[in-house]
Amino acid sequence: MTTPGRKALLTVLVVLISAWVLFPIILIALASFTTRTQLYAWPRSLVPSPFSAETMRFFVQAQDVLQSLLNSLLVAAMTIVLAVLIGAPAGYALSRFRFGGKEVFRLGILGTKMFPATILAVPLAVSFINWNLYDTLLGVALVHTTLALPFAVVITTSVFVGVPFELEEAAMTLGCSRAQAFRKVAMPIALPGLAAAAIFTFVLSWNEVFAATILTLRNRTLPALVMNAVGLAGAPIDYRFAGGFFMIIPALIIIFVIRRYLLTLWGVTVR
Amino acid sequence: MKLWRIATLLAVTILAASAPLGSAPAVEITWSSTQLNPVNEQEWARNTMLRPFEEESGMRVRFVSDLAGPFIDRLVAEARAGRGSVDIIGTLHGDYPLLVAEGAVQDVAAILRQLDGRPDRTFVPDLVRAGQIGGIQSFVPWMQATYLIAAHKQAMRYFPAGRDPMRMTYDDLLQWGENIRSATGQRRIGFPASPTGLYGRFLHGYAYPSFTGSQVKKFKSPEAVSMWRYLRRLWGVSHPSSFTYGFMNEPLLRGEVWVAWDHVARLLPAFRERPDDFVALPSPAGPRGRSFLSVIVGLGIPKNSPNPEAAARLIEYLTRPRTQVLTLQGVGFFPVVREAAGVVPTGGLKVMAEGVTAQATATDARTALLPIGLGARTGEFVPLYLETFTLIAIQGRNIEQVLNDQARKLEEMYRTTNAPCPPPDSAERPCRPD
Repeated sequence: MTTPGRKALLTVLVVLISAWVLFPIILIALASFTTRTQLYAWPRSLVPSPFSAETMRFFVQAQDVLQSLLNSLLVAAMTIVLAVLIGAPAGYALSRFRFGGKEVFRLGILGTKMFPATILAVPLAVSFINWNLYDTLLGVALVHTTLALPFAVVITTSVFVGVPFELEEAAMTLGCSRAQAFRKVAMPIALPGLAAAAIFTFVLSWNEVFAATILTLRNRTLPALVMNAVGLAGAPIDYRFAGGFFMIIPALIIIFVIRRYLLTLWGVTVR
Repeated sequence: MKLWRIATLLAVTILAASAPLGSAPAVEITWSSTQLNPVNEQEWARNTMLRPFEEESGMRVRFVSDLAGPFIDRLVAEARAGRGSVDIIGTLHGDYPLLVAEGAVQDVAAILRQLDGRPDRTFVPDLVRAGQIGGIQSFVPWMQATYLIAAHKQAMRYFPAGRDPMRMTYDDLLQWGENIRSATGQRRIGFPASPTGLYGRFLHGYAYPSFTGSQVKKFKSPEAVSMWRYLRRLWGVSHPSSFTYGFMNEPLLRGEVWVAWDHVARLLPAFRERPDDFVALPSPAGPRGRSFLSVIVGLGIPKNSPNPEAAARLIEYLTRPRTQVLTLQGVGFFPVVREAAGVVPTGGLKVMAEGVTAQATATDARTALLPIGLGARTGEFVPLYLETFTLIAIQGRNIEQVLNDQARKLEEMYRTTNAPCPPPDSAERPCRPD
């Protein structure tokens, strides 16, 4: 194919994919600033007039919403730290060393995804009560870490496979210790991959409702507080849109922040 | 390096987050509820319903809404761990047998006796009886709901001549639909038969007991066969869009449907919006009486409640006639104490309350209750009736054949769960369709 033709095709694809992602977000955003009477009216205009922040204000002022937003961010942060701290060394080991039972270990990690959390709910809650982790953010973060670890390990394994061991060896011949070589050479190269793992972990933690609902009572995360209350039939339509929009925004901001590290990876390869 | 700085920052947040958040007021009690779940009802509960109690008692109430699944799991876990954090619960009566079986709730008979001693607290006896499970009083009645027929006033002139709408029969309803169709050329009776609608409740809790005197036992009886023949004809005068209706207030307000059957909470918005346009009628009576479903919400105290005395005070507040009327006005659940009926609400609520009373006090009234004891398979009960409806009334299959096939599934469900028959059948277990 000629270069201009290719470029045009690429543009069309980019526009299509962006629209596929952005269109629902835009629709939700517009609807969440529309009054209820307008939402029920037919035919309904896409752009709200008058523009109304009333439902959104309800969410910001409703009891516990801001606190649970903070809780969600804290849980997600703890989950990312724990998942990377535990997952990255495991991924490093899987990519660098040969050891007995390696394949079993690899499969075993994925095995944790086989069990639905629902059947573990009661025993998990009982244990957490006994360990004083019940209704704490750390407890929720621990569960989310467990859920996120398989992804973190699989992603970091493939990332470290892509980092040539020769570079670390070269650093060690120049006087680095094994740990220094890892920290100063392998780690920076692997950073974009770790960022990808972090995004996965964040999205998982941000969206997780079940464990967050059963393990907390007073310290709810945002999805646990909001999703049940707006997702069910019976919640007025304006609250559903506003709640959805309210949940999307912080996630978008966080992903934009982490994305910087991803772009460095793409920047290098595209160039 | 940047990454380490970020990591340190996050580590600090972990420590900060593990420390207790904020300082709690002197006494705070935690109320876990599966009711008043929509976000606007939660805020109403906190700001309108509970505020006066907090002011008079000096306690703070943490109202936490839960879905039925996590709600029960949490209480079971707290009972097994021997340590609880929930002080008081509010949920449907159908959740209590499981909680009693798990030893997760206390006997509240003493609290109920104390309340009954007050001059303003006569609980409806049927509702109190529903709470007697496994030898204990598992809950104090809190709110109730039911299903009614709402009709646009312009539909009333087509009601079969010489018949009383407040004592409507299933034949009257069919005739009504036929009258409307022949006069206007349109089918104006509506049922909430979409996946989010509650038409299944009409089949097992209204039609079945009214025609056969049973929800499960007479599933494939000759009476059931004639009931299905009737339902086929009724569907013929029902609005063709009934498959898309979830909440009947919407087609009623749009004027698409003139006569609609639904849950009171799902009709209420229409009565609120235009109280002068609609009337509330009791559900119809069949050959075996006027059956209706009573949805009962009860207040219970978990076994390891940290503060059962405070919970008892909250129960006293919630069952006061004034609070009961406030609840009716706020969320459309009806009072459970007789004295509340004296405090008459106004407008659309008054119309609806009259409909509820007419239904409950009719001489041929029969209370059916939601099926209980099916455990994890509770969710299969209603779909089975809906499927039967689809096969018979929509696809036109042979009635006896379909009923035999479906009865086998029903029997299997009850056999594996060893569940009792729901009222009005006697509570033998496992329940078996004859």
